Amino acid sequence: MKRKQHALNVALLLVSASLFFSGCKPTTEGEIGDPFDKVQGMMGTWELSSFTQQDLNSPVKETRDLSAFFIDGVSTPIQLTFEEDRTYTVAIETGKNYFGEGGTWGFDDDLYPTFLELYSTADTLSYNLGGMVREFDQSMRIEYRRECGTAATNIYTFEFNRING
Amino acid sequence: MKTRTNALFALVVGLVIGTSTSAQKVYVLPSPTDANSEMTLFIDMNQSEDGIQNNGLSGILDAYPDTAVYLWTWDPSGPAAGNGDWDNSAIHQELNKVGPKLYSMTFVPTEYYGVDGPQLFSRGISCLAKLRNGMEAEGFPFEAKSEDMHVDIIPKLCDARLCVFPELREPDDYITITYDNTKESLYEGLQGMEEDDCYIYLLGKVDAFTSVELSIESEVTQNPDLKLQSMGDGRFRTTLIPEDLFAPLLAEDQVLSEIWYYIVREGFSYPPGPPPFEIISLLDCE
Repeated sequence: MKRKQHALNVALLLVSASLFFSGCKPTTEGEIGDPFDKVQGMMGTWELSSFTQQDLNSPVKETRDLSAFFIDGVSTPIQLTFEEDRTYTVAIETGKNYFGEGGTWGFDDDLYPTFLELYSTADTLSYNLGGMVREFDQSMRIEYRRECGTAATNIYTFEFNRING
Repeated sequence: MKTRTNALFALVVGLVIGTSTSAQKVYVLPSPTDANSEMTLFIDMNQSEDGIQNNGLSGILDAYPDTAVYLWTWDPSGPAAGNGDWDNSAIHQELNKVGPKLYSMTFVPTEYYGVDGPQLFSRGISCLAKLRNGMEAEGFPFEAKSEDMHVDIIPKLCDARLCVFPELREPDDYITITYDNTKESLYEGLQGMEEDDCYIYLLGKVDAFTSVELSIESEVTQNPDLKLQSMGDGRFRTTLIPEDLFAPLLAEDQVLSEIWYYIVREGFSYPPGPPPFEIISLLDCE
């Protein structure tokens, strides 16, 4: 009987403590500020630093580094330049061109972008952004996700370094 | 008090084990699975529940535990040798009884189903267990079959003589072929390769009647595109995009469906007969 009373006391103490501490949430002070401008974040010239292929059907989602197809230590790796007027250019000396001949660029949503969209006279390309790019970020990741019917097959990931902007 | 705690602990352990095995009506071993090696499919009729899909096999097996049970399967395709008829299963479809209401069959999935690895991994295995005659058995209310069952097949990381990356690929994907010369047991003349010894013969198949080759076998070692790079430890590798590599040889409306290949070494000839082709199937996603 005594043991049961003790257990009840402990339970009551825990409930009281949780109620007490939940009332201690600090109030937010100051302004959160404007969200980062993702369009400004993209502007400038970006140079490829790595290229990988991930097998989505491998039990360990195996990834292979295929950078050597684009970065040979002699040629300049592929460079993408995004301008404020929403035009973009591609400079490529070696490797397969996944980014078209240049044209205009945009996001699916300027405030909350998921896709980078590249429009040229020949094609419209849409790639996943590997993360938000802010003005002070020095790297950017673009993902080309491949599917066949309903089956996801591979992800090609392009990592770029900002070289000016 | 201690006895009660032990009993509670045993109950929890029992519940956890029971929960973790309850869904395993069908499973394969080993898993992850090599599509080209032997695999065993298990059907656990202890987990089956009669009456879900007009199925009554579990009850029949309770009454007649030594009755022969047959496999009926339709994914990733029907068996290459067929299921037989519903009222007369093919004899090769008989399952082995390996425990009380537990049945198995061992086979090489690519041979048994006549499919390739990508088809097996993308579709998995769908099947059921049945008596040779799957119709309603006398004295039992439902058909002499289990409910439909499905198991996903997880591909094994390749450690074979020849490995292809990735598992599923289109003609315009990067495809990496790795050859482990230390696992070369088929051809003595290929054993002990030096750094610059390893080449590959490539044949692009458009359909059953149309194919193109990059170089004839006797000229493969003169084509630097067909040389595999040494990775050390007897392993060699090449990465290619089939669509780009074969582009100069293909008409505009031709699309590759398969790559056929085998390893080549200068001075070595395969025994008379058809060359030992390996096949890389390419997805058609259009």
